[in-house]
Amino acid sequence: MIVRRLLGVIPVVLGVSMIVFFLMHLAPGDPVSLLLPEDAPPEYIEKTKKEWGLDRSIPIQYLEFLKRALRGNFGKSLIFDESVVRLLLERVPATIELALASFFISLCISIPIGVLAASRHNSFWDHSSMVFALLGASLPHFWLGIMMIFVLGGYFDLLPVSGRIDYGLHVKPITHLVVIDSLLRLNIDALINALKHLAMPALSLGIHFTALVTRITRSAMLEVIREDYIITARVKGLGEKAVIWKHAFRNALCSITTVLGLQLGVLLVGSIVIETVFSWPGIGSLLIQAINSRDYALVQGVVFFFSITYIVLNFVVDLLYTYIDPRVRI
Amino acid sequence: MRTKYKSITIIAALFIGFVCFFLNSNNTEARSHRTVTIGQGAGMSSWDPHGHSNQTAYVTWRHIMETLIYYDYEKRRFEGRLAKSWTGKGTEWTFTLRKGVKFHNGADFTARDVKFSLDRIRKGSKQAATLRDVKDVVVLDDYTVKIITKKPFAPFISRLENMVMVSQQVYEQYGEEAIKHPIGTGAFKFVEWVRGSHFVVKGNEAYWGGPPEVDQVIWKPIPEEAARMTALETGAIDVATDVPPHEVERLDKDTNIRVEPITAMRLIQVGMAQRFKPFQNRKVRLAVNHAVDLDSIIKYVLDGEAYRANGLSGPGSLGYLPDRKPYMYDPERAKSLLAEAGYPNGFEVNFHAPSGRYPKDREVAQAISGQLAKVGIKAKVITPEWSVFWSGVRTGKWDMFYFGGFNHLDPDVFLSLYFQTGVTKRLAYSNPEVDKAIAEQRQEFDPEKREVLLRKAINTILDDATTILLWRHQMLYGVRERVIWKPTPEEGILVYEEGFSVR
Repeated sequence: MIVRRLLGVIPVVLGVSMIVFFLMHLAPGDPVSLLLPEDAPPEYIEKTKKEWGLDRSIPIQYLEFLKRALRGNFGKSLIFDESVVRLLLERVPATIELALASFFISLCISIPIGVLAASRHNSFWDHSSMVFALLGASLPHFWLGIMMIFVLGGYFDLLPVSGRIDYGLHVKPITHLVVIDSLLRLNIDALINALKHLAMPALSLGIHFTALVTRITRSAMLEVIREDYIITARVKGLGEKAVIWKHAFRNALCSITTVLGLQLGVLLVGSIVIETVFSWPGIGSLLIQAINSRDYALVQGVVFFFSITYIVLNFVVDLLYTYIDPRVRI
Repeated sequence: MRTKYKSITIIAALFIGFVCFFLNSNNTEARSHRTVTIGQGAGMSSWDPHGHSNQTAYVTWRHIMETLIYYDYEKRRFEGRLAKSWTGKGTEWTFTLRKGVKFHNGADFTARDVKFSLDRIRKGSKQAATLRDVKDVVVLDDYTVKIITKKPFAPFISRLENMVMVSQQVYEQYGEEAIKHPIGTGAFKFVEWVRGSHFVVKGNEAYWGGPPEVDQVIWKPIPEEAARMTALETGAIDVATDVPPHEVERLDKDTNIRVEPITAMRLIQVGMAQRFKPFQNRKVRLAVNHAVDLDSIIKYVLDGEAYRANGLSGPGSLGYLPDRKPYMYDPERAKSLLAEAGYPNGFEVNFHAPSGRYPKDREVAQAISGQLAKVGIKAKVITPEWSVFWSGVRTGKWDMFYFGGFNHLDPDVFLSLYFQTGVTKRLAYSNPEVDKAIAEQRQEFDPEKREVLLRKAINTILDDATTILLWRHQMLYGVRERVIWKPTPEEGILVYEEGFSVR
């Protein structure tokens, strides 16, 4: 069963890489005219195109790419003169840290609010949390990011506006997630500094996710609370808290988890803009640079990473599902 | 009841926790008082000092490695840096190098390093095109090197402006990994680079020109304008590039910050390609020049932060025409010229412009289009993404396009790219007189005679009304009061130059 799922991954990844490859090459503009000096004469452009292998037909270039990729070689970035794999390894931890932080903060905010709203249906709490969710869903996250930069970063000077950690606070990497590493190395100064840098990007990245999960939690809970077994639990004499959390929430978790899995992609994609706004050195900002300079190899590498991540995350969510709902089997 | 008090207590505890978190000091950066932090729109891309061709990287690498010559904007001529002196005649340029210069690892800088560096650039680096006129580099002795060009080429010296010298010995020792050991002869030594985060150098106490006034320079890429300005205001950075004009008033009010303006070298023009039939007629091109009211655009769209151009070269560059006046705003004359040329009802044209590449480029293009409409020319503004736009310019696809250029001291390169017959397809312009003047000035080694030829070529091009000359923008740098520095027309902050210090 699992093997079938894993085999199904291959055509998806292949299809995505083919679409991206052809789209990038069909887009007008080429990396050579963008990376060579402005005043390079046309012969130099042609010569460099040949050197970089960009003069051959697109299907042939794709086959070359595929041949190398199967051996684990994703080529070299034209902008950065580094192997794509090395660049990915360098930048991925920053994006993972940002996405995990967003995810964690979002859950901490949205689930309690959603449960509260459902358990006090039609009260002040319910209505105000729905307004909050509506706001969160409609505000563009980069706008929120820039507003936070002006207000929290500029006017109140509470938080730094760029980077992951101040230069000079060195933390020897273990997991390459600066917050976790500084915790493990018991470097409190670095920990607080890293958390400060992480705060605004994580909040702005997670805003849509938070809004969505709040609403889903609330509606899932409302559905479950009407069920007969909840009445039974109350009649049995269980305290309200146990009823809500041990019985209602546990069952609502099924619907919530489905949505969580589907929406994780939103966080990954959102990182592209948020990383640029906050100068966060992850693969989102790397992708933007790569696309703008038509760095074909790098774009392929980053997109490949995104698709694999999305597929794996969905798979993990499905596995979690079997744990939450024993009736479901993968 | 009990639950309500409990949640309030939890919220209060969290709040107190947050407050303590924020009270923890903000600027813990490892900075001695003689550190400068610079926030720019773009960061470094490659470990290879020859593996890029953008201005930001050229300027940053020049802190660690050095060039043979540099341009003195005050004296208006090239001066020697690693070269003490040089002579140029025919196809031979002979450089006498400075003695006693050492690399950061203690090794001597010699002519062999010059040959190695220039050969490395020429053999397939991204900067190779800049040295396309070089035939060979010959080491005459330890401190004399001769560069042989393919043809006599008077403008050659300016090509060396950004070509930095690396150590042959380091590259022989480390092979492929040599670029990870950035060793040069410059005023600063490399410390650390985290891509996308910071690039750090520290002062070179043993620098041949004397130790620098600054101990440490940190470059941070902050592409988002709002973040860069905020970082300047909170003191996270000391210097910010590209301050938008609408922020100038607000930043000036802050007593800790001043805005340093300098007129950029880059000239903004609108090209009228002569493959488009109406533009083949000089009267039409003149009409377009008379139809646009550039002074209003500067005043209302650019907040006054630009200077009308009267020629292709700016005041600091070769070929500057001090007495020439640009075409004046005269819509009536424009209409009569159009009628004379056979277009009494005007015509339609596609006007391509980039968006966000130059200050207010799109808005200016729309303003120009509006002004042209008043004389009957319907210019449709199209703003493709930069790579599409630029590739269209280079391959000669656009009939009318907004572009920047002429930001070198020596206009030779841009003259040939845009105005010499057959070199590129950009403007489809051909005038044998201009070709002759360009060819002659290339062979004229006497600077005064060369200047005459350059002015002749440029005057002819301007008489042909080939393009609409717009302006040069004000480059605006945001600088905190502790930094003592005045910008030069070059785009970039040269910390190694005399006159840069911090309080």
